[in-house]
Amino acid sequence: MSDMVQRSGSDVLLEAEKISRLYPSSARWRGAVGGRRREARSPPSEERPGAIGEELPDARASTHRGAERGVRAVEEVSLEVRAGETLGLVGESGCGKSTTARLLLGLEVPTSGCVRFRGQDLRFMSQEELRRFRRSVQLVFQDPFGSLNPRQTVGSMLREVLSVHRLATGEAREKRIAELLALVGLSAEAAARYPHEFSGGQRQRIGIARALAPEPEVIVADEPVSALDVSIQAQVLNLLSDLQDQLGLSYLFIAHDLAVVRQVADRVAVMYAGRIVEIAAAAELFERPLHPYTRALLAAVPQPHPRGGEGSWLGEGARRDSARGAVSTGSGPGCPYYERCGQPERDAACNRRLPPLEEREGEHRVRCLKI
Amino acid sequence: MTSETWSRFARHRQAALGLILLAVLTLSALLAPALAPYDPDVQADIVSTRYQPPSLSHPMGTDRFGRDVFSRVLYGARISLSIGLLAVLIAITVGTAIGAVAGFFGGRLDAVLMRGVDLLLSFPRLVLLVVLVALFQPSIALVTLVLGLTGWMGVSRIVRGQVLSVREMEYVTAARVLGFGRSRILLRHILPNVLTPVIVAATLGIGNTILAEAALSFLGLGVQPPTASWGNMVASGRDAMLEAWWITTFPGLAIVFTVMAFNLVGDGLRDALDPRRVA
Repeated sequence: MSDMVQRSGSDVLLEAEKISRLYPSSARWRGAVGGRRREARSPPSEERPGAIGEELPDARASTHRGAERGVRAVEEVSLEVRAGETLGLVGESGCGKSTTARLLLGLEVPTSGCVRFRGQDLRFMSQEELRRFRRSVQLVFQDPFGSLNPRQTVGSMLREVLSVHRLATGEAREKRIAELLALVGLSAEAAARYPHEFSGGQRQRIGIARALAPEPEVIVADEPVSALDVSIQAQVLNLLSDLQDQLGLSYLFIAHDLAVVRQVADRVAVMYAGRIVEIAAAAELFERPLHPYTRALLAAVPQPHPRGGEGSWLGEGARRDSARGAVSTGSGPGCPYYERCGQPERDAACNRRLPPLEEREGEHRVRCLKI
Repeated sequence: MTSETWSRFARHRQAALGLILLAVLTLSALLAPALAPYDPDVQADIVSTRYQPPSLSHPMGTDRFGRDVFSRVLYGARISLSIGLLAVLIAITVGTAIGAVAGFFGGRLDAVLMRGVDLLLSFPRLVLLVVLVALFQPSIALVTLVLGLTGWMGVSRIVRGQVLSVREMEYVTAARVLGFGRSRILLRHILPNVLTPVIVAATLGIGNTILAEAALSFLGLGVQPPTASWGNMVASGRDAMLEAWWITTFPGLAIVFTVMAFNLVGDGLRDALDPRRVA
């Protein structure tokens, strides 16, 4: 399996280019990749009314922008998952992390922008290439209860994956099932049992085994441990990193818990109101967070050593930042974080135009005019 | 989970009563040839044997052709139960298929199918039945088919609603991520998780179907004499209701008990399958 992955470090497996996702106010389930795509409404216009310099009314979940009504869950997000790495994606609830994941998985179609797997646009994939994509990019869910079919034994779940993708039959298939279960630390007897017979942590292992069954290269883990007991969290995180070493997997690791992300991620992207506001190598980001929102997030993490060593990322300024104002949906023309920003440098310019995501040093990029 | 359901069902007293009634009914229908003291259709000596009140030789009396009412009730059970079961089978098959397709694919197809269901539901069922049966020569097969084809709308609504909710479950997303086809997702991942309320609806539906069959037969549009059905037995006895009460009463009681039994079992199943309900 691992021989399929070239560990060259900069080899991009899965990438998103300026993807946006708008939900019309009466959004309904639509077909996604592989199915027919039906858009009930005409695509939203890209122009963005909103008088410059005008104070915007308190933005609520449903934003009104002239003719365009609905929620923009994701706005022009670009990111890439490189071979063998773990990209952490963090942000508060509702910031668009999960929608980004669904777009990357091809479960939803971006309103604009595109998703590429190994350089190939999902929209233009042939049936065979899509099948390949489906095998190669897998998902681990947050909820270990809802993500397993209650009417299927663990064995039949795995058997189904192996047979649909024609990976193994007969004797070899049963052997592979035992192997997969062993890989996630479950005994072979687990195959005969139903999901409800397992604990939360075990069920999460089953979910991971199912994701591993088609021999993927990239695993999107959407809050894989946040529904678990703290003592179990560490076990599952260790399992995920062991699997990465053994199988050469790449992860897109979505979480709101920064302590968890710090433990696993190589690079971290911070999302706010549907946009990436900062992206950097994990060590860099945690040592020197630049964006005020990132600093506020980091300040919100409970500290085991409150007066810890030098270079602690718990600055006084950061403390003031946290939990100020309501969650913005970023509907104004300016910085989406404007209303909550606690930086003394904040001024009218911030509210006038959207700061670009700019490179500072190396690969550290940040979306702030004042940094 | 399943054993829990079963124990909840077993503790449900009315359901147990219904189940016993059903067992008795089924057995007597199956064993009718052995249990029936007389041939249900034979008209021996009409003049001397007709309108006999219940006695030891005729436990439920005789009708105006001198036929043994008890034997006819037993044979009628075969007709009523098999029509009920088959019609409901047709109804849940059609209803599940249409409801599942509507719920799964959504959009315009859903709208068209569900408005069609609304349209059909807006006709009183009996009127629909009478019209359909009257167009053709009444026969048992026709009655079964027509009962089945007028009884699926409720099931399709239930199934559609269930599919709409199950469709959003994460294990369905998982199936999509794993690259499973739509039909596999619908048949193997959604439908098995939808069938519980269908089983309840089916059980309750059998009672209704038996009633509808009896009504049709009573009107002369269902099972045709001389074949015994509870409905046409009630109909044939109604002229002599005051003089020979037994001709209508016993088949009537058979209908009442059967429908009640199915409803009790259906209620019991519904309670047992609902995990929120603590019995």
